Amino acid sequence: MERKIGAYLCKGCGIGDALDMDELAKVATKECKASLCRIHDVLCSDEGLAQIKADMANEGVNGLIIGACSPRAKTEVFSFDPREVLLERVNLREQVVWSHRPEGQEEGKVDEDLQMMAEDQLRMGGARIQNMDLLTPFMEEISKRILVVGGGITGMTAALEAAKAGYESVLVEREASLGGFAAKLFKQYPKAPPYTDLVDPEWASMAEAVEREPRIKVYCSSTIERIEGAPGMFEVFIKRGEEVLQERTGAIVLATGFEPYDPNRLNHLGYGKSPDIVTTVQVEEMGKRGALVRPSDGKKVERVAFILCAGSRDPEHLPYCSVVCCATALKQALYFREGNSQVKVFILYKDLRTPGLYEHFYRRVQEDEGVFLTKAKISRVDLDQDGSVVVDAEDELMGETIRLKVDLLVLSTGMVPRTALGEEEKLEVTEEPGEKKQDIASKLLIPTRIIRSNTLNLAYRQGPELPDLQYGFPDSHFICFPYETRRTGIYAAGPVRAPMDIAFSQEDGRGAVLKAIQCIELTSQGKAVHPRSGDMSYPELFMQRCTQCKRCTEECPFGMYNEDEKANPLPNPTRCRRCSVCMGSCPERIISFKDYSVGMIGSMIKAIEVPDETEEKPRILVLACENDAYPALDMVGIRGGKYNPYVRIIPLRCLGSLNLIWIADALSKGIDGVLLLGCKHGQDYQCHMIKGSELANYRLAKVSETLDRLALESSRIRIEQIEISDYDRIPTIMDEFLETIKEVGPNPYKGF
Amino acid sequence: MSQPRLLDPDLDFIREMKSYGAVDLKKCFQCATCSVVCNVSPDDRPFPRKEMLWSQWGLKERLLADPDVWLCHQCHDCTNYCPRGARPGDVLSTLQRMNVMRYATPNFVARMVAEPKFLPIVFGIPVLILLVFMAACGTLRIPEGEIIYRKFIPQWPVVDVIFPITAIWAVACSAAGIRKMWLELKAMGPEIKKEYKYSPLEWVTVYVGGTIVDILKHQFFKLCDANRFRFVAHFNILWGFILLAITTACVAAGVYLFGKQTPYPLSNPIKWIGNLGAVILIVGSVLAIKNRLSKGEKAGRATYFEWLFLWVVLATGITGLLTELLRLANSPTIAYPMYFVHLVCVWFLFAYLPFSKFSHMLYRTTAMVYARWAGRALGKGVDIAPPAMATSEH
Amino acid sequence: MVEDKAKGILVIGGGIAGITAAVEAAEVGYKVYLVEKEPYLGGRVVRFDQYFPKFCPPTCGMEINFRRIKNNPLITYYTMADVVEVKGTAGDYKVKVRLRPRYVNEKCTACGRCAQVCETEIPNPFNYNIDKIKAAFLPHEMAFPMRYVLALDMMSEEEARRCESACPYGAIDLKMEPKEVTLEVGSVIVATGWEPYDATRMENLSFGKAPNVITNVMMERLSAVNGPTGGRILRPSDGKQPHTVVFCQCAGQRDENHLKFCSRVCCSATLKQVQYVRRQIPESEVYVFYIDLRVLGRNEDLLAQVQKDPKVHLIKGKVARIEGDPATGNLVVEAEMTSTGKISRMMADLAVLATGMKPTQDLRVQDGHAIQFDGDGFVLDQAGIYGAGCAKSPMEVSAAVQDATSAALKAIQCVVGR
Repeated sequence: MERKIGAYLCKGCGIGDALDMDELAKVATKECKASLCRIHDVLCSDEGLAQIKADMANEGVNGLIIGACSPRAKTEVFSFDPREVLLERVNLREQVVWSHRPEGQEEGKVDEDLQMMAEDQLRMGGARIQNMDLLTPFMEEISKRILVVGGGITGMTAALEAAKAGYESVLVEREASLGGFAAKLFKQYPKAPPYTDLVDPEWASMAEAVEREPRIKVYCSSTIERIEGAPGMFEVFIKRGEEVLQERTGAIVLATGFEPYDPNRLNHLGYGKSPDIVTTVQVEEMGKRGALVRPSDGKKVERVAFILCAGSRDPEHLPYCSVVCCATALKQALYFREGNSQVKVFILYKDLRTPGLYEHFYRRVQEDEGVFLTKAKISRVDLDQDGSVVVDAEDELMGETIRLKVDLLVLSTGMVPRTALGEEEKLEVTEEPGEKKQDIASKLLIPTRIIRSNTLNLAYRQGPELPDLQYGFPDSHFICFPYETRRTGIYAAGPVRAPMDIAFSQEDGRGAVLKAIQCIELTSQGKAVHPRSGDMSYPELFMQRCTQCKRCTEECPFGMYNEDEKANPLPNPTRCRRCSVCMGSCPERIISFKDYSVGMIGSMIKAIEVPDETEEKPRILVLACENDAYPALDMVGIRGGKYNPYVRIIPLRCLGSLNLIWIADALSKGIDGVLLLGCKHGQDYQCHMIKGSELANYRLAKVSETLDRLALESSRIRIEQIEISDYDRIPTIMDEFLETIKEVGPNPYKGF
Repeated sequence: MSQPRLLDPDLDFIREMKSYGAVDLKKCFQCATCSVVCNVSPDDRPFPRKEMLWSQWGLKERLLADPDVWLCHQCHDCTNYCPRGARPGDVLSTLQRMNVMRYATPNFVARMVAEPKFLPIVFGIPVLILLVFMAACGTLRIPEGEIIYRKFIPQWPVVDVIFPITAIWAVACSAAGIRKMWLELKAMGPEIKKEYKYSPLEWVTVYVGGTIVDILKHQFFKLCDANRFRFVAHFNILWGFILLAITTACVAAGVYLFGKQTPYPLSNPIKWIGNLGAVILIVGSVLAIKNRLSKGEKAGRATYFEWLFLWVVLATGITGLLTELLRLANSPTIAYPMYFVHLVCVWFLFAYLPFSKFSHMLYRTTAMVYARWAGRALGKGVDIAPPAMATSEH
Repeated sequence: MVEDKAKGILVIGGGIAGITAAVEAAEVGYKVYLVEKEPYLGGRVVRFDQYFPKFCPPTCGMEINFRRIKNNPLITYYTMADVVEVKGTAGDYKVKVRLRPRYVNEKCTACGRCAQVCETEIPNPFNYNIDKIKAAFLPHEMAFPMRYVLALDMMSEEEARRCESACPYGAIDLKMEPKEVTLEVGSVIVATGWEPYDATRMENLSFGKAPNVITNVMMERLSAVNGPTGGRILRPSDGKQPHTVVFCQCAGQRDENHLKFCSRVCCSATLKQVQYVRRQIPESEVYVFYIDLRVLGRNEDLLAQVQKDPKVHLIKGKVARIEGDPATGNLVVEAEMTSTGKISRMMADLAVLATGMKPTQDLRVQDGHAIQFDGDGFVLDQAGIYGAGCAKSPMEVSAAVQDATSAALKAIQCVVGR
């Protein structure tokens, strides 16, 4: 394409007052190779925009350098189709003029350092647009069907709701019939006002609806043998008995639910000592059989005790709370009470958790005169001579140790996500010279663990299942984006994702299937899903130079790459989230996007003018994460903060796209220091690409080689974890780093 | 912690409590707001939170041997702040009433007073007794001439026989009830402070004496926030009775020691005291009734048990005053019957003292004495310190 | 699958739930109208300092969501807008939206010149009126849309004209009138969220009387960098750093006299705020009085964290009385510790009330609309109109997002193929 670049410089918001616009214009035309440059008072005004549009129409301009405010501002105004127009926004307002108001600067006179900064930012913009190409989205013939794994409440909801929106789905259920765990229930506790009466299980009617729905294809007594492919084109191999059937789907909802915690591990609570010590699950079965009696002798139950948090909220067992147990115990108390008004039901809790509107249900059960609740720590469970169960507990309301003699003891056991059941395998990491695999794996704090739970059996290089976050939940770690897993187009829902009850599972199944639908629709247009939703770029590999080092295939946070037997990476663009971590990982720099590449950032760095040391104007390169650090830098300007004008800022899609060559480029060019601003990593990571910032950190550990080769001090490189709200820290970080740089002295490579 | 205590809730007891008016007791979720907002409750093992827990769990023995039940002055601060609408005030008043039933000897009298269906009998008895005596004395008609009540209901043998006997009965029954309560307290109530040594002086001055002073001053009533009004009402009723008691004593003395027959002239100071007493009594009981009616639920759910007593107190005061006024107004046709009604009311108060709501006088006093003896300082302390954590905490 | 002729979806409320519902539906390809009463999107969450359990800033996720809105032509949003009427049936609603004048038009570049010349200061609603802000103001630094507001009724005509003339871009329009727009939509998502329960209604807790009794939402502002204290936790009475801080759970919740229900989030929120205090003031002592600690699911880890801290004390027993000393500003906090059966009467520098989530009532007072509510004031789902987030029931942020995503699909089902 013949690229014709127009540069547009805005004088508004104090830019014109602080900078010499004509000088900037020269830079634009001479160095940025802009075939025309216009200076406008208010570029975001209708006139300004009209000017740009006119030039595109009349002058055939197809590349725009807009030197004005941050790309985060006036986005709607300066929005152009990336398939037709190249756009680069140079942030002269927030990150230049507003954050470097020099003191005692008299009218008209321009601060030299500030001008230099603006010009460099403009040069970098020029370099960037020169290395940019128009986007051509990745299009494939895709399937708009959805695979739902698990035929319980969540899965059935997902399939039914998808159908209502006009989407077909394939529902795979392990058991011979639909219903999942809910099919075991005798009654459900209320989920709607007034929250007073137990309701009959709703799974049966749902199952009928599923059977009736032509848009849903049901496979019962079936498991997933293998899933190949990628969003829009998953090839699903379903094993039913001996036969293996194949279905093509566009996205996947994982709704395999939970297993009750194994009570055999609860001997300390008496499980196994007597048939009269049971779990809440058994009580449901007894209820269904209409046999709420003593299992040992079939006598009617006069006293029954519930121990809540049996094996939950317990570091020895399940450290978390399963949310549903308290309300379930209250529900089961009514099973007994409604059968016989003389029954005494004891409920021993750590905390009685009926969150939200379920409080109404708690109140209702409390009012039953035969239900006795107290906060207690169980100290002993034993059997009496007459065979009845004796429970001793430190009662924190009575302030004494109490003893209960009961005919039946019920243990409220928690939920274990199905994905937690199976042996685990660590993500394989290639050996570095002098390092063991485990060393590297353990360097990564963010769990890369995969548990072979035999639920999805993905034909993915990084392992057959979704990586778990904690306790085996394949959950996202994102409060704002709870459906994000680390495998694109696969959305976990229901108790497999986090402990939740039926009402929440139904909302969750519906929500997850919307994400699946959304993934299909975006993929069909060649667009990315969260967090760069709508992005039409994708990675392209120059395979001739590939050394099969496997870094990209191992480090991609979303398992985008497969590998052939020769260890060549096989990209699956529709799995890609466009974080470009792979681009940073590649030592041969063969991975690039049309609008983002190693070469592009390299030439941006090279575009920076480095004065020689006599001028005592140090240069610091700042590589900042686009989503958090970059906005924080804007905020410094908006809040009227101030830091030194020697920094040159380049936004990165993710710090994980950091390629060490850039550091070499910068240092060998004479830039005195490089500051990397990335997201918080570790257990509570905030990186939206999951391990991008941590990988950058990890790579940096290896930068020493580069530094040694150049005989430079390691203190010239610093990496900082910046939250978007850390804008108050930024000036200090910038200026402290400048001090460090001054201490170590100018980069000897200046002027080379 | 302590040795395990086997708990087995008494469902019937819970139902009984509900039937006596504590319908909401199960609603409590043990937030302990009540123990804090109650200004009478002590800092150590305060009420009514533990009473609420025991009631929910139907732990009958504990509750009935619990003096704290009687320490509650029924101001209903707790009820008004209770987040669950469990109405601790009503639960305690129910327990008090159930205690009265238990302590009462002979017990059937208590049941009679407690149940509306026996109302005719309850009043029939005094009416009958009086009529019989009057008939025997042949005074069963409105006398002629100057109104002198002796002519209608002769001092001797009617008044001077019936009332002393009634009084003796009342004292005897009260003593029996108090004894029952005291024994239970000693058996199952909170243990006595370690340093206790028996000293009659201490008993007279500190335990009993101190308690009586507290009562006369209405020490604890004053503390109740939500319902100041009740303090005034109750204070008046108490002092009304005291003044009237003094009057009665003086009159009795006058008649028998100095042979000075009633009626006394208005100039007589004893009359003043009497009239003052009557007025205060009326004011007090009117206030109490008004308070209950106006505040409704907030003042606690009033039961028949309470209403009956309140109305009789009021009636006693009013009839007493009218008896006098009508005599002065010289309208015998109403005056004599009024006197009759008055005597019936007075008899009611006397005869049913240990059985009616009146008995709280006995049992609360006993409980307060026991509390002093057990070294339980009532009322909120003032010492401020970071909470001493229990080991069983999180 | 998505036909352009499909009717639009109305989302009422631009908090985390509303924004989520809007972008999730729009990214499937549906036209969405997002109506927010405040001058900015983001609702309650942008006033939080950090989310539990990760201690991450809400603006981080908001940045992504705002970018999704900016880049999506299918989303039309209105700020300072009130829905005054919702008429019609599933698939075909007519909605009246009244737009209050902002007196600043889309030409605004957020350069701040108007604020420079404006002198009048007004209580800052963003900080729950703890501090003041210019009458020509940007609601907060990360506000979206990044556009100023003029509180015209608070400033003199002269000053207003000064602001007008100070604006180089003709962005200030003092003649702006209230506007009414009518939207035709196929379905409605009600994501009107919640407001903190009025703590002055618990007389025994002295909120409003004793300045050092604050609410949990105020604590978020005290801890936030862009809050009134620049992120330093200080006593309102004297600006001193508190040493003893007491958290009072269920203040006006699970309470027949106030909010009958449990707000689900307060316990976790408090355990988070406990750590705000402990991290910022190492020598501090923190007490949490509760009825039940309801930290759900994996938030249990938050509880485990604070249990390791010897300076954090978790006590079962509800605070039933707080009295403030006007002279020192200190507080006396009373509760019964149920496990020991003793009244605790302690001195505290700062007390934080965990006041609950009262469902926003804005829509209830309007009549002639089709929206239905339950006894507690929460939205009831019906064909065509769906609740999302805390307008439907009290829930934490991630649950609200989950719920809003679900609501988006309900809304889509109702317009698809119509």
